[in-house]
Amino acid sequence: MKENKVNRYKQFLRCGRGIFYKNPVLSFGLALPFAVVVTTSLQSGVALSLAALVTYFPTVMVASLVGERLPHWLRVAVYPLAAALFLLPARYLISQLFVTAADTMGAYMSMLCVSTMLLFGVEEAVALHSHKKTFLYGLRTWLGFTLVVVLISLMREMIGSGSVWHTSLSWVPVKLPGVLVACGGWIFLGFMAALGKKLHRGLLALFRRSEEQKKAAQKAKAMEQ
Amino acid sequence: MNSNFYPSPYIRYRDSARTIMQDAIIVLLPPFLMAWFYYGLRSLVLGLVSVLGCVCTSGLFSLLAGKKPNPRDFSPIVTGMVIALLLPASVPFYVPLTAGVFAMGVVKFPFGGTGYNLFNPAAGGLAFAALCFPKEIFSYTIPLETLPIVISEGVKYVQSPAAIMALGGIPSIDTTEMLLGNFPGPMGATNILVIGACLLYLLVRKSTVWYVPAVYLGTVSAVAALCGLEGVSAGQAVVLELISGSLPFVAVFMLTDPVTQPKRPLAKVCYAVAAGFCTMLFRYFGAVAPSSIFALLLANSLSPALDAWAEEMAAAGREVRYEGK
Repeated sequence: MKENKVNRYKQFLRCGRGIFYKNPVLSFGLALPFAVVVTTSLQSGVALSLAALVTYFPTVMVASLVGERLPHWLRVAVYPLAAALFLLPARYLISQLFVTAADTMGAYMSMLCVSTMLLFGVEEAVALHSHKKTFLYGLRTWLGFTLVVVLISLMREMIGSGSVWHTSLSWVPVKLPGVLVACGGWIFLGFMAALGKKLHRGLLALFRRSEEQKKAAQKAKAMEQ
Repeated sequence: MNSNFYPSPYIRYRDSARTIMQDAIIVLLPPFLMAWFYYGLRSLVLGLVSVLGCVCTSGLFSLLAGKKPNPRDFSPIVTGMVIALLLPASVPFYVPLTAGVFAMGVVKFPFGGTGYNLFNPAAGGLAFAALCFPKEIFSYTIPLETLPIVISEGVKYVQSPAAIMALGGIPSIDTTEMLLGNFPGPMGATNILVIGACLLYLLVRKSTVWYVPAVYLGTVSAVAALCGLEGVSAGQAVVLELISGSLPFVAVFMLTDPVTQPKRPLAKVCYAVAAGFCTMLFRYFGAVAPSSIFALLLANSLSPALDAWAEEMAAAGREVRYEGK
C-alpha cells in the first residue's frame, strides 16, 4: 500500500477503531440513553464513564474467556448478571468519588448492566476469538464512549448551567437550561455526529488535495528535466 | 450555450415560495402595528432583533452547507416576525435572539433548509425559549403602558388570562377588550379582530385554506364546551379558551404553514383535530403554558404519517370507483 497522507490517515483511523472511527455512540447508536440523559454535568459524565469502565470492560473480558461455551440464548441473560456483579464495586467507587453524581445517575447506573454497548461488546468479544484483540477492542470502545460522554457533558454544563465541574464561569453571558433536558442531549449528539463526519470528510479532502498538488509539482519538475 | 430543458406542460403558477412569504410578511405587519400602539417602540425593536437573529443564523448555516445565502428567501424574516409576536413586549432581547438562532440552527437547517423542515421553526424556537426562560416569557405587561426600550425595574408584570384559568380562576375581560386585544398576553396574539382580518386576507389571496384553522378552533371549542370551566357557562368557557394564550395566532399563522402541514385535505383535517385536541390536553394537564405551541410541534410530527394514511385512503377510494365503473 502506498504510504501517502490519505493512507496514513486511514491507518490512524483503523488503529483507533472504536474511538474516532466506528465510535459506539456516534456510529452505532449504542448506549444512547446514557449519552443523552445522564450527561447534564461534567462530573456526571466522568462518573458515568468510570462506572462503564468497571462494569463493561471486565464483562467483555469474561465473555472472551468463556467464548462460545455458552449458547447464544444464554449469553443475553448471563452477561448482564455478570455485569451486575461488577456494578457493586462501580457503585461504591462512584459514591466515594462523586457523591452528587451518584444520585444524579439514579437508575441509569443499574442500566449499565443491560446497555446495548455491553450486549454488543459481549458478542464482539466472542467473535474475535483472541484475548488480546478483545482487550484492545474493549479499551477502544470504552475510550470512544468516554470521549463522547465527556464532551457532551462539558458542553451541556457550560451552556446550560454556566459552570464546569460545578464551578461557575463568569464569562458565560446567558445560561440556557433548555439544553439540560433530554431533547438538548439528543441535539448535542446529533450535532456532534454531524461535526465528526464533516471533520472526517474535510481532512480526507485536504489530504487528497495536498497529494494531488504534490504529484502535480513532481510531474512539472520531471517535465522540466 | 447552457440550455435547461423541462418537460411539458409549461404552466407558470401564480404562487411561488416568494409570493407566499411576501403575503405572510404583509399579513404580520398589522399585529406589529397594534403591538406598537399598545406597548410602544420596544415592540418594533424586539421584532427587528428577532428578524436579524433569524436572518444572520440562516445566512451562516447556508454558508456552512456550502451554499450562497439566498436574499430572495423571506422565510427567516417570517420566522423572526412570528417569534417576536408571540413573546411579551417586556422580554429581554436575548430571548428572541436565542429563539431565532434555535429555530434556524436546530429546527430548520439540519433538516435541509427552506421547504424541508419537519417542524415549524418559530414553534421550535419558542418552545426552546420557554424551557430556558420561563420567567421572562410568562410575565406580561399591561397594554397601553408604553415600555422603555431598555427595561428598568419599575415595570409592573401581570398574569395572562391563560395563566389565571390554569390556576382555576376566571379572567374578567369585557367583549370590546377581547376583540381589540386590550388585555395582557403575547404582543401580537391578543388582537382577535386584526388576526381575523389577516385570515381573511390570506383566504382571499388563496395562501391558506379555510378549513384548517376552522377545524382547529372548532375542536378547541368542542373540548372547552364539554369540559367547561367552574363558575361560567359553556359558551363563556369556549370564548375564554379561544381568546387566551396564543391560540388564534397559532391557528391562523402557524398551523397553516405550507411546509409542515400535510398535503392532502383529509390529512389536513385530521392534523387540525389532533392539534386542537392536544392543545386542550396540554392546557388542562400540562405544566408549561404555551400549550398551542407544543401541540403544534406534536401535530407537525404526525404530518408525514397522516399524509401517508390519506394517500392510502385516496388510493383505496380510486380503486373502489374504478372497480365500480
